[in-house]
Amino acid sequence: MTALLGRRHECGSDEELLTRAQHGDAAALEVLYDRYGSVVYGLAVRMLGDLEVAASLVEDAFRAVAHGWPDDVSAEVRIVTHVHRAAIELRREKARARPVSERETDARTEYPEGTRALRALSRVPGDQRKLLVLAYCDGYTIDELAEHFAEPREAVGRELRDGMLSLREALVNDAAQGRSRSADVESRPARQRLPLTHGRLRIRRVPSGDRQLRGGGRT
Amino acid sequence: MEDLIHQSAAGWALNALSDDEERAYEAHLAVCGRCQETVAAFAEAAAALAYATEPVPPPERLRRRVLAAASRERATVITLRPRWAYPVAAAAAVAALAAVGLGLWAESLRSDPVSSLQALPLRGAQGALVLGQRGEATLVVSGLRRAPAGTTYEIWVMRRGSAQAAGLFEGAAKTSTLHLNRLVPRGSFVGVTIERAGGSLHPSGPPVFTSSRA
Repeated sequence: MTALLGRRHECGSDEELLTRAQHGDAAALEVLYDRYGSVVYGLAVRMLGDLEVAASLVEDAFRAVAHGWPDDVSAEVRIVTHVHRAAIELRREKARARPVSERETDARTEYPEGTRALRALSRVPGDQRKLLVLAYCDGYTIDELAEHFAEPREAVGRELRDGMLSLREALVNDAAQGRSRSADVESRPARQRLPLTHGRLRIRRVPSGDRQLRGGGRT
Repeated sequence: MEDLIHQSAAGWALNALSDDEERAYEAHLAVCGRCQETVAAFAEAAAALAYATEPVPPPERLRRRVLAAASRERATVITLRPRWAYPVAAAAAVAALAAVGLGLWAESLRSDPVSSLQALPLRGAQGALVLGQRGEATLVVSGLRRAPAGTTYEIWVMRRGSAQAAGLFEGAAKTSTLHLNRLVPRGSFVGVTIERAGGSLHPSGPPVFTSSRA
């Protein structure tokens, strides 16, 4: 898969750093750690609320990457995916069902320019972004979100899917623009293949009235 | 129904499905090329969501721990709950066939037009990985040395850039027949490493042997 995230300059591309780290180069791993450590630590702290456990998950993720096997998934996606999955499993072990708390959801209303991920996030419609953040960053299941918003779970599932499509599309567009802006970015196919289109995945258009999730249950 | 299950791709990439839905979807994912393509495309979108959380600088001692991890391996403190307890339909047949002789057995499976099983050779060991249609898997391996004292063999399903633990075994038997506790989707591969007794969260070294699913 062509990397949409990741960084390609400074001390080397993520791919180069990952290869070096997998050959025991601690300096290369340190650059990756400097790039992504605080992002995944912040995510783990938010999901688990426990600094020690969060640190363990981050350590595990970097160790997994350093000792990982060759794969076509980028270092960043590997690290984030590892931390997220481990945090989700720990959360669900502790509590099978939790009432949704939105205390943190709106903490980050500003999405500053600077990284591709944030630029792309800022292009996802607000309601969908809120749901995506509750699902991903706070670890709520579709069922929990459906109950909280008093919506059918199918509606929540559709919103999440549409939000993911928007986010994916924004990432792909951003990557394409980045390439046309700077010619020195390492050579990549001129046109990125977009394996997802709205047309292929969209099952039925939600009438526009249903697309607004009610804020029910919010106190 | 098919469309509904495709809709689960986003939920799966977000880790937002319930356990039952996740199991059902992964069973589907193992055999659906379109879904595999979809979830691969969603993986990066999901990772981008990590940036919606304010980054927090980790404590300095974590840097030292991470860097130490680059050069050596340490015990893993957190074990993940196994999410798969998977009945393998063909288990009994596989076990019986295994006794017949691994080479013959793998050939007979491959050439059996009625069988829905697929036998893949191992690289680095004698045996085969037997797959059912949904990716349910049984590993048959023989001639392994028993794992050294204080260690165990651990089976991994590698996909999405991460290794998922799929079972432990000691390798004491002449021929070990091992039912993996998770599915092996297309495009992933199975590897076996030696880990500290009790197993690890992720592989700590290169695989002893592997088998890939095309």
